[in-house]
Amino acid sequence: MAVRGSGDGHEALTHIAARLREGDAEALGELYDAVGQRAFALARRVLGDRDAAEDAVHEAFAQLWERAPSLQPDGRIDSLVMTMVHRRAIDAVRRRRGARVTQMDAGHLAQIDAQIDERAEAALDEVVTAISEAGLRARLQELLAGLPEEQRLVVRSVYFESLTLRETAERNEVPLGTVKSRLRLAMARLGSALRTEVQR
Amino acid sequence: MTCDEVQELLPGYVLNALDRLEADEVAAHLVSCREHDEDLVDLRATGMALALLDDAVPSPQLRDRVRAVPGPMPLYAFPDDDDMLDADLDELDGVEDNRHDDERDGRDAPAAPRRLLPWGVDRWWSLGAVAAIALVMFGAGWFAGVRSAPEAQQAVRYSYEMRSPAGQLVRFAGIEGTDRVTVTMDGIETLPEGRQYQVWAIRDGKWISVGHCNTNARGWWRGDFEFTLNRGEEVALTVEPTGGSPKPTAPALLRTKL
Repeated sequence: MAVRGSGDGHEALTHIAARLREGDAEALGELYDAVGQRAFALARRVLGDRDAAEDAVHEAFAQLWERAPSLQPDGRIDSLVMTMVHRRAIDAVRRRRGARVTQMDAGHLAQIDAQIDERAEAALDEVVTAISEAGLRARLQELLAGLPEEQRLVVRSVYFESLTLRETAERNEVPLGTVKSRLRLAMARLGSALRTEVQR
Repeated sequence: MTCDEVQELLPGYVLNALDRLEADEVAAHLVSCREHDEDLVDLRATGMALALLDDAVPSPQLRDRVRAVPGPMPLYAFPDDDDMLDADLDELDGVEDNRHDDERDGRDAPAAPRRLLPWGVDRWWSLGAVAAIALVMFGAGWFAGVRSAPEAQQAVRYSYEMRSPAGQLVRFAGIEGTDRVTVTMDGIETLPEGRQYQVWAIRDGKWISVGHCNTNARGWWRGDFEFTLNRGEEVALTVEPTGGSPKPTAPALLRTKL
């Protein structure tokens, strides 16, 4: 997700990207300082554990450094980092899953993931462009607070505590099917509200 | 699994909250059904947005690790006395040569010469490091074992790495049974004029040249070699005169079994 709507931040990242292209090692550290926490949060959410999340972030930054000379001058470096971290995290999840996934066409699935990620990034950028990153954060807090208690609980358990749906169901002593429905309804509500922000 | 069932599980799938079996079934469905793409985009975007509210903080060590990414590190100490690095190379007999370089993008080093470590000052430390790397060197190879494309039903991709304790790595990637291997070197110091890194496969005790190259100013190189690597073989890295040697003339800096 690009830092738009906060002009200084966007300019700073553009400057960092330019320095990375020139091989400025300090720029990589500065980029980490700017987006590392968010990248880590994303990886941890996908992977569910801190060590694996840190590995994913480290690998993504190492890959970014490797590719630095070919960075696009007008590219969004923070979006690129988030996408790379997300893909590394997804790859790690798939490796853990083992045999069953490897029987499928994992390469094809990775291509689909990449396309979905790209479109999701673009969709989110539209929202950030419309209401700024700070505005989005505030709006999300408002939306979460406005969810029915039982839906908010499921989102919190799954997203912020990295519990599986089954663990969430067991902890709250509700049927698994109910937890699935609550998460689906909550995510649909949040997604719909974010789309509305773009259309305003 | 039907589309309706997948639809119900999609949020849990995107947030990685499904049981393993369910997640695999959803993934299998998504490979062949694109009806859910729009919902996937929405869910991914929402998930990414929620990351803004996640105040999880990585360890301070991660910052150090990322900051340590750039910059080639010395892997090789250049001897300035004949008796230094006087390795016993008697074992290296029966060497075959199979040199073929295809350097795609590793020669983009800037014109300005890169200063190597001040060997005069750090020489003994460096030699110790080289010895440690040679002795303690380990490899982390694995077979991904995935099919890469629908039309390549039998193609099995592999990816092996050999790493020094300091994290410098040489990665070998390709498709099993083919005669092309992509080699990536990262974090390894650029060699001065007249020297190149040479990659070897050790087959039945014989050292066979895979190819030779040099890293750029960032300590990085990637290129293809025309060579068939086989599981179970050993690979090694040495420093040789430019153009490579028919057999190693220096001890292996890195060596591991695939």
